[in-house]
Amino acid sequence: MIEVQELSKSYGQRLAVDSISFSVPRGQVLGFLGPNGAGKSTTMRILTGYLSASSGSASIAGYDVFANPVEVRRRVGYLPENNPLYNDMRVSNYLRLCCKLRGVSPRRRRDRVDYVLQACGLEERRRDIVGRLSKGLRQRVGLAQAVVHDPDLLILDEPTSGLDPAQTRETRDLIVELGKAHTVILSSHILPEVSATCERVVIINRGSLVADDRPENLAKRMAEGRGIDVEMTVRGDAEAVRRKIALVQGLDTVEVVPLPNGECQVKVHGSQEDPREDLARAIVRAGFGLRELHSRTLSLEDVFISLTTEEPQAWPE
Amino acid sequence: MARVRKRSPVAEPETDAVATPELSGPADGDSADLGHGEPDRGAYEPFYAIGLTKVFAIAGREFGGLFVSPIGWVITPIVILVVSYFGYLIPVLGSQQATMEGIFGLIAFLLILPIVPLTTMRLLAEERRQGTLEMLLTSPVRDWELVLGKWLGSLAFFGAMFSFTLVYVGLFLIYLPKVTVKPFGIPLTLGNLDFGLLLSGYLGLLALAAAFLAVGVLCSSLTQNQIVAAFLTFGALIVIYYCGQAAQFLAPPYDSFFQYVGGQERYASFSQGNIALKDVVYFASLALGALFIATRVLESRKWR
Repeated sequence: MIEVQELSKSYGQRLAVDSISFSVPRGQVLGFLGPNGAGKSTTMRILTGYLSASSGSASIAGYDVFANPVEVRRRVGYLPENNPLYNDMRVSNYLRLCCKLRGVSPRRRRDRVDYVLQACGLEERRRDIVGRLSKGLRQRVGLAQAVVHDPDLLILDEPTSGLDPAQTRETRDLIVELGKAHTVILSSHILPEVSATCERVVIINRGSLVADDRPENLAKRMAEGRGIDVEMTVRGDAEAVRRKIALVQGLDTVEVVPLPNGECQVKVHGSQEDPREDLARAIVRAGFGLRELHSRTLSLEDVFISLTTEEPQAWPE
Repeated sequence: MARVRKRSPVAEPETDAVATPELSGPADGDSADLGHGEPDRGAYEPFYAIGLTKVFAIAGREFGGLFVSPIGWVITPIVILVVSYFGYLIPVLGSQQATMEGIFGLIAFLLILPIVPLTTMRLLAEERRQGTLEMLLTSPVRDWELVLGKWLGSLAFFGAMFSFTLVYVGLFLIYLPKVTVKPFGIPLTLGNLDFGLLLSGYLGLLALAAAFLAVGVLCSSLTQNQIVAAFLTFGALIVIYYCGQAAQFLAPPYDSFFQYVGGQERYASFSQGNIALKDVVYFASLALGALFIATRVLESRKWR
C-alpha cells in the first residue's frame, strides 16, 4: 500500500527527515511515534503531497507521490494536525464540498455523506455550524472528511491531541472501527494510544527511524538482556525484610522502603532467572505477610523513552 | 490515465469479503481485501480530471462564504449608498445628465479602496492561518485550480454586488425621452440611452475588477495576516492604477513606460465607449500574470 524509500527532507540547513524507509501492507494500522519535532508531521505531509521531499521516493497504491500527486491524493484521506475546518459551514455542506473536491461523482455524494455522518455519529449534527461544535465533535467531523471520498489510506496526524479523556477514548474507538476497513497511519506522541490502536509501531526520533515492530515485540526485545524487575508489598519490619531478601540467590539490587502502615515497599532487580517464587518462599517462611508481588514488564513508554533519549542508534536486529 | 481506466472494472464488482460491511459504505466497490480502492469514474470523470468541477466547487464555496461573512454585509450597503448618492443622485438629478459615467468612475475608485482589498484579503491568507489550506491542497486539488477558484468566486461576488447598478439602467430606460428601436426586427420603445457606451462601460468595469481581484489574490497568497494582505493590495492597486500620472513629470522615453503600465487611462477609454484590443490585452495579462504568480507562491511551500 505504501512504499517509502530513503525519504529525506531538509528545511534549509536543518534535516527534518533523514532517509526513512518503511512499507505498509494493505489493511494495517501503523502507529507513527516520536517526540514533538521528530519529523512525524513532515513525513505525513510528504506522503499527502503537501510538501515535496529533498530526496528519496514514496508511492501509495502504486502511484508515485511526486509524479502523480492528484491520483495519490484521491486515494488518501488526511486529517491534518489541529484539524482545520471551515467554521462558517454546516457539517453536511462541508462534507459535500469535500466530496466535490475529491472527485466523488454527483450520484454517490448523498450516499457517501449520509454514510460518514452515520459512521462518525454526526447524524443529529448535520445541520449544525462547524464553528459551534465541541472539540470532540469537530474531531469527528475531521475524521468524517478524511473518510468521505472512501480512500484506501487514512493518514491521521495526532488525531486525539487536545481532547479530554472521554473524547480521546471516543475518537480512538472510531479510529479502531475505521481501521477495520482502511489502511491507517496515525501519528502520536501519546503512547497508550498507539499500543491500544496500532498493530505496528514505527518510532521516529530526530528525523530517523529508530524502531519498527509490533508494540508487544518492541517491549519484549527491549527487555531482553535487561533482567527482571519485581515489586512487592510486605507486612513486617523493613530492615528485617531486607536482610531476609538479601539471602535470595541471583538478585542484583534490593531496595526496601518502609511505609507508614507497618508495611514496606520492596523493589528487586534480578539479572538471571525469574526470582519471584524464591522471593515469595523466603518471605512467607520468615513469617512476614506478603501482600502483593508482581513483575514489572517494560511498557511501550519505557521503550519510547529509552529509544528517544539515548543517542540515536540502530535497533538491534 | 489510461492505466486507471483499465483497472476500474476490477474494482467494480461487489464482494462480501469485507471485515465490517457497515464501514465499507453504501455504493462501495470493494475487492477482496478492503480495497475500496478505485475512485468511481464515469461521465463525470473528464470534467473532474481537467479541474472544472473543483474550480467551481472552490468558487462556489468562496461566493457563499462572502455572503455569510460580515464583510459582505458591511461592504455592500456602504458601496450601494455611496454609489447611489455620489454617482447617481448628484450628477444625474443634480445636473440633469443621463449618464452612467459618474457611477463607473466612482466604482473604479471604490474598487481600490474598500472593495477589492476587503474581499480578497481573506481568500488565501485566512486559509493559510486556519490551516484549511493544508486540507485543500492535500485534496486532489492542483494549486492553480485553487487560485482560479478563489478568483472566480470573488469575481462572482463582485458581479452580484454591482448588479444593483442595473437599477439605474432601468430608471434611465423608463424616464428618458422614448425612442423606438428594432433589434432583430422587434420594435421596442425605450429610453434614449447609448447602449454601446453602456456595454463598453460594463466591460471596462469587468476587466478592471478581474485584474484588480487577481492582484488581491496574489497579495493574499503572500501572507497569513489578512490586514497585511489588505494593505498590500491597496498599495499595489494605487500604484497600478495611478502610475500613468507619473508620465507627465518624466521625459521620453521613461514616460511611455508609465503610460503603458498605468491602468487609469485604459479604464477611462472603456468608459468613453472605446474598446481597444491593447487595453483588453493589458487587463487580461495583468489578471493572468497575478494569478500565475499566486500559484507559484503557493507552490513555494514545497521547496522552502
